[in-house]
Order: sequence, then structure tokens, then C-alpha cells
Amino acid sequence: MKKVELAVIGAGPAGLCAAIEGAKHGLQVTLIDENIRAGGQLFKQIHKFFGSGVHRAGIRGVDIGSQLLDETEKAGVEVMLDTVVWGLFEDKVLALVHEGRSTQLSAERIILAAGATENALAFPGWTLPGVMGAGAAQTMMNMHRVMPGKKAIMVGSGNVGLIVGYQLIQAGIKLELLVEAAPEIGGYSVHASKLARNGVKIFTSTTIKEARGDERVESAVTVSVDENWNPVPGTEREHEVDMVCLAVGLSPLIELARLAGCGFKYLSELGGHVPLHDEKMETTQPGIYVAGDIAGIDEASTAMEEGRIAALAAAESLGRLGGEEADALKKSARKRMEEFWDGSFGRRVKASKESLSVKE
Amino acid sequence: MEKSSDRIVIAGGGIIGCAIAYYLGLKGVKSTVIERRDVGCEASSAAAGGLWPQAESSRPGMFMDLCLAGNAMFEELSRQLELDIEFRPSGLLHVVEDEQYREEAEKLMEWQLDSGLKVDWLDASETLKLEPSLSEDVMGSLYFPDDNHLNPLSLTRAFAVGAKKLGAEISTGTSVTGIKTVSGRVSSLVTDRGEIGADIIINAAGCWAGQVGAMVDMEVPVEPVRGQIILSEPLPPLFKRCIVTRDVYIIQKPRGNVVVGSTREFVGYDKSVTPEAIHLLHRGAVKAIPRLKSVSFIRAWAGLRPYTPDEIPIMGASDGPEGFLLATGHFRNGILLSAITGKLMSELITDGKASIPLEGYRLSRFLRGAEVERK
Ligand SMILES: Cc1cc2nc3c(=O)[nH]c(=O)nc-3n(C[C@H](O)[C@H](O)[C@H](O)COP(=O)(O)OP(=O)(O)OC[C@H]3O[C@@H](n4cnc5c(N)ncnc54)[C@H](O)[C@@H]3O)c2cc1C
Ligand SMILES: Cc1cc2nc3c(=O)[nH]c(=O)nc-3n(C[C@H](O)[C@H](O)[C@H](O)COP(=O)(O)OP(=O)(O)OC[C@H]3O[C@@H](n4cnc5c(N)ncnc54)[C@H](O)[C@@H]3O)c2cc1C
Repeated sequence: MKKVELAVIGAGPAGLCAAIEGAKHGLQVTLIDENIRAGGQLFKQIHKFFGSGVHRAGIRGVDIGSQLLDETEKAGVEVMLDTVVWGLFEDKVLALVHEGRSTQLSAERIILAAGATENALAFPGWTLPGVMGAGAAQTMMNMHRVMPGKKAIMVGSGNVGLIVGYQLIQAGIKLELLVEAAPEIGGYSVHASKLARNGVKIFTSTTIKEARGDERVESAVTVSVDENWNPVPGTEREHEVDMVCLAVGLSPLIELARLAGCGFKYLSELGGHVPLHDEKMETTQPGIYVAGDIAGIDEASTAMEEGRIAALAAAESLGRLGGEEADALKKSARKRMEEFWDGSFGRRVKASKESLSVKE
Repeated sequence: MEKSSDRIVIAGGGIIGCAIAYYLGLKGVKSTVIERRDVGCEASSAAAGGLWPQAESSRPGMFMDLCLAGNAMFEELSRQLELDIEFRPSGLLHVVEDEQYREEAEKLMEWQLDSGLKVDWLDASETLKLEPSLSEDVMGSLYFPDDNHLNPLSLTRAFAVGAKKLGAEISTGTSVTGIKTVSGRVSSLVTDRGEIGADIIINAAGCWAGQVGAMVDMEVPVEPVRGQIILSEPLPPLFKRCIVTRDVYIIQKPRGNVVVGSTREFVGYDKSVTPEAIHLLHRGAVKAIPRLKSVSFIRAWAGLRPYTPDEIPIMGASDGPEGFLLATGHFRNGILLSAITGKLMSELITDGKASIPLEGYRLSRFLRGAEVERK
């Protein structure tokens, strides 16, 4: 069985930064991702990132991805693509599958950076072709250059709904309307006003009731909801669309953390069940760390910092880094993260994250 | 034995505990099942669901007869129970891949035919005609037309639902923590949620029967034996019969998923799956049915079989306090033996005597000095 010092699972912003940081401090690192290209969510993000300068704000996600890939290569990280981690066994043995062949990899430290999975919403007609997650629509448009539809309705007004809504328009799809069950728009107003400027109707206190069609979506029915989110009878409206895009949140992809026997806490602000972890991003299983969306749904900027912190902690625990130097580096990463969290939304994330801390 | 006023409490809500409650219910007798977590959450939901009295037996005798009697009950039971237990009268092919194994198979066939059972030797072409997806390397197979399969979790739930309808109470999320006796008789069962008066207590705690036995200072030699299983994605119909090889058994379930089992490991109460076992099972399955090479296996799990030193269950009265009975140690056959165990235990409790003698299953056979009949 092959042995490595640090295995990083998931090559999104969190995993890429973790791998780079680990290799920089002398660790022998293997980075594993199931896709044929590294970058995770970044390669779907053709928009300029928000956030602070140190986090490369103003740069498009896809370009951040390319920069990180370059650094990964330079740092001497071994990258295994098209490789799924399907198991995590005792003594940190990973089971991998690549081109139909299963192999094992034993690691002294593991960083889980598997990201998140899109939530679905069940309503009559939700299995019709044409109903899809916002992430799926993004993958089709921005990565594979396929138009997922002609006329769309977006469900959900968080940043994902707003940004992907705008990307639909950029791809040449007519975005009929965006509905939001809450009384207010969830995401940043810059993104919402972009949609408004493009003539998209945004209905709050409204949800999707049904998708109609024989073979695929031909129309969608929306309905107003009261303050308890119960549909108000008689307010149904039918819209002629061939695509229903769901942007109703993400949940941490925690299967591997479960297999590892990590402890969890349920925090709805962070997307659901989140592995408990301390300041060093270490879970309740010694030597297994988490970073990025798996540690609570947030942003690429914080995912990158968490990846760095986890890798620093791993390097420190393997004696590659003096305690003081490691502390200073972790502190500055944490400081950048705190600055990022300074917004009102960030403060909520920060508070939730703090309640996750297991040790110290 | 049982008076109508007797309070009957069953410790353990696996398939055995639930079956006993169900058959007591059929006799108009109420009982209470105390289950630590959830109905069927341990061995009974980990099982493959094979009902294989013939393919899994190595010799005639008392235990084989019990297995056959148990197997004969499922046809009617599947009509009688309210939930679908996915009972399939499928038959079983015991595939033979080499000469040495063939000799063993011939011996097995000989004594089973002598016992008046249905079993047939099929040569390679007959075997492949029956199950074309099998590997062309087969030498032949033993065909057991009466060995079938069902869904063990559905059966456990069906017993539980049926028992409740017939007046039983099932307390889940309740652990048995002690047993009280008064002048040599059980008087109550202590749980983490209170005490229940009891005139009869049945230890049906599967692999934990030893811990429950210890509550009345009784040594019950049941030990966990881990078994691992892998399950494929749903597939179009590939084969109909249960397939058994030297390495593995393979069943295609009604929804199309293929189940491959299993291992036998003495590792205490550890229910982890291991990559070695997953590879072993996968390799064994692909060797028997090459088309399984290119399908996805989506789940792996492990369960703990209640093993006894002679691999035969412990059932009936004990030499401990009056009113303390046992129904445990069903090892690899607890699903197959669930109905017959429920029936016999209910007869023992209500009539004082089971229609098939339970003497050979008594705990006392393990007492020091007793002659242990090894399988
Ligand atoms: C529409 C949209 C817009 C966004 N805009 C911004 C923005 O402007 N600014 C910002 O900072 N953030 C933004 N984000 C958020 C940001 O993209 C995510 O927070 C970030 O990508 C999370 O990084 P990650 O590394 O944790 O996970 P991911 O980027 O999701 O990467 C995880 C990787 O792990 C792989 N993986 C998972 N499981 C396995 C396994 N078992 N085996 C092998 N590989 C596996 C996945 O395939 C994936 O490649 C946006 C997100 C979306 C959806
Ligand atoms: C991988 C595998 C494959 C198998 N395949 C087959 C097969 O094909 N055919 C077949 O016939 N058999 C098979 N078996 C065997 C069968 O599963 C078992 O013999 C059977 O399930 C035993 O049932 P049980 O009710 O005695 O035990 P269990 O199902 O383990 O039930 C015991 C119950 O007692 C509860 N309990 C324990 N302690 C306490 C306490 N203190 N208080 C309250 N509750 C307690 C537990 O929570 C548990 O639910 C298989 C087993 C395994 C593991």
C-alpha cells in the first residue's frame, strides 16, 4: 500500500490551499479529486469574486483556480484526478477508485475538503427533465458550454441564486422570474440589483408549487406564502418556462467524516450537520482535519484560509514546523478570515463556527 | 406454565424477540418487548435474508430438521403478515468450481437424498442454461429448489407490526439494565426508563445475551461473529436463484440490488467494514458472475451474529431463576429460524411444551462437564 504524509481530499479552494501550504512546509502531499480538473466550485465561477483584496477579490473564480493550480504544481504536490475516495478505514487508510480500479492509500494526516452538495426541493413535477440545481446549471453552461434551457425560473435568492441567475442571462437564457419564500432577498444587494436592471421580476414570500409538463418542464406554478411559509390558496400563478433552477442551499458533504467517526453538530446557518473541529481545524478524530464548505457552508475566501490552517497544523504535528512559527502563521490566516467575516452575514457564520469548537 | 395473568417481557427487539411477541399474540397472549435502540437495528437488519436449510447444512439431525421446519413456514407466513416481506421461492445453486469441491458436493447430495430432500446435480451446461450469467468456468452445481430468500428487515418489522396489532407493546430506546428476583423467581425487569413487573422474562438479546444473562448470574456463552456484506446499485434481472460458491453467496433482491456476503470474524463488538473484506467479496462475486465486474457497489455494512460454541441456538427454560427463558445464539440462521423459534417459544410459554422438543437446545449443554456436540 502506498504511504503519504498528508492526503488532501477535494481540490476546491480549500484543498488546493491546504496542499500548497503543506508542501511548502516540507510535507509529502497527495491531493485527490473526483473531477478531471482540479478547482472544485471555482471553475464554475466566471464572476468576479467578492471579498477582500488579500483573498483575490475582484478576480474571477475560474482565474483563482488556475493560479492555485499553478502553485500546486510548483510546490510539488502529487495530484490524482478522476479519482474518487470511496472509503476511509481504520488507521487512516483511504480507498480510491480510478478508471474502475480500486487502490488504497495510507496517510499520516488527512484533510477532508470535499465541499458541499446542493439541496433539492420536492414538489409535484420535481423529477421532470428541466428541473435542476443551480450548480448543475452552472456546470452545464460554464464548463461544458451547454444551454440548459431557454426560459427559466430561479428558486432561491441567496448569492447562489442571484449569481447563477445572472449567469443564465449571460448564457442567453431568459430568466422569467426569481422567487424567494422569505420576505426578503437573501444575498448581496449588488447581485440582486444586477438582476433587477436586467428586467428580472423578483417575488419574495413566494415559492414554487408545481412543475408541469408531459416529457419535460413546460410551465411552473408559483404561490405566495404567509409568514409561516404556508401557501396562500388562490395566489397560484402559472409561468411558461422550460427550466426550473433550484438554489435552495448547500449542505456539507460529510460522508467521509462520518466514516472516520468524527463528532458532529447540527447548525442550520452552516448548512446542516457539520464535523466538530477546533481552531486548528482538527476534528474529534486526531490527525483528521476539515477545511472549506465541509466545515460549514461559507465562501471560497474562508475555505482557502481554513485549508492553510489545517495544513499548518498537520505540518506542525509532524514536526515540520516550530510551534511559534506555526502559531504565527495560523494566527495571520485566522485574522484574514475574521476580517472577511466582518460583514453582517459573516458575523453569523463566525458565531456558528465558534459554537463548533471541540477543544480548548 | 403460563397463567393468563402472567406478565411476559422480552429483552431484545431483533427478529427473534419480535417473532416471539408475534406468535404469543397469535395465541392471544400479550407481551412487552424491550429494545435498546430500534426494532431490528442489529444483526436482523444486517443479514442477507437467505433461507437455506439445505445448502448450509453439513449433516442430518436435530438441527437440520429444525431448519427445514422453519423454512416450511414462510410461504404461508408471507400471506399472513401484513407487510411485504419480499419472500421469493427462488431455489439455490451451489456452484462447484473444482474437483475437490465436487467430491464434497457429492457427499452432501448423497445424505440429503437419503433424508428424502430435493437436491439435484447439474453439469456445467445445465447450470449455465438455468443461470446464463454465471461464469463459464463452472464445473457444475448442486441445485436446491427449496432454499429461498426474503428481506430480513421487512420480516422483522412485519413481526413487530403484527405483534403490536395483536396487543404486544414494543418499547424502543429502552435498555434492560437489571433483573430482580424474589425467592428464586423473576419478579421484574429494570430498564433505564423504569421498572416493569415480570413473571416471565425471555432473553432474546442476540449477541448481548451474555450481558442480560449476567443480570441473573447466568453464563450465556454467546459471542459476536462479524459478517460483512456489500450491495450493488439496482440492476436489471441478472439471475434468479441464490448463488453460493466456496467464497461468497450472491442474491439479487427484488429491487434489482445484488447482495454479496459474507465474512466470519471474531473481532468482538466491532461493526466496522474493512477494505480487505470488501475486495474479497467483490472478487468472489465477479469470479462467479463476471458481469458484476462493471457495476457499482454502493454500500457495505457489517453485523454481529450471535455465535455459540456448537453453532446451535440456545432456547427454552434455563437452570436459573424460575421464569427466565432464553432464545438466542441463532448465529448464521436467525432469519431462517425466526418463525419456528417464535412458534416453539410461544408454545413452551402457553402450553408448557413445544411441539418440537427443545431439550437439545438447553443452555445446560454448555455447563462444565456437559458433552459439547461440535458441528
Ligand atoms: C454560484 C456560487 C457563487 C459563489 N461565489 C463566491 C464568491 O463570489 N466569493 C467566494 O468567496 N465564494 C463564492 N462561492 C462559494 C465558494 O465557491 C465555495 O465556498 C468554495 O468553493 C468551497 O470550497 P471547497 O474547497 O470547500 O469545496 P469545493 O469547491 O466544492 O471543492 C470540493 C471538491 O472535492 C471533490 N470531492 C468531494 N468528495 C470527493 C471524494 N469523495 N473523492 C474525491 N473528490 C471529492 C469535489 O468534486 C470538488 O471538486 C460561490 C459558490 C457558488 C455555488
Ligand atoms: C452479515 C450477516 C448475514 C446474515 N445472513 C443471514 C441469512 O442469510 N440467513 C439467516 O437466517 N441469518 C442470517 N444472519 C444471521 C441473523 O441475522 C441472526 O441470526 C439474527 O438476526 C439474530 O437475531 P436476534 O434477534 O437474536 O439478534 P439481533 O437482531 O442482534 O437482536 C438483538 C437485539 O437486542 C437488543 N439488545 C441488546 N442488549 C439489550 C439490552 N440490554 N436492552 C434492550 N435491548 C437490548 C439489540 O439492540 C438488538 O436489537 C446473518 C447475520 C449477519 C451479521
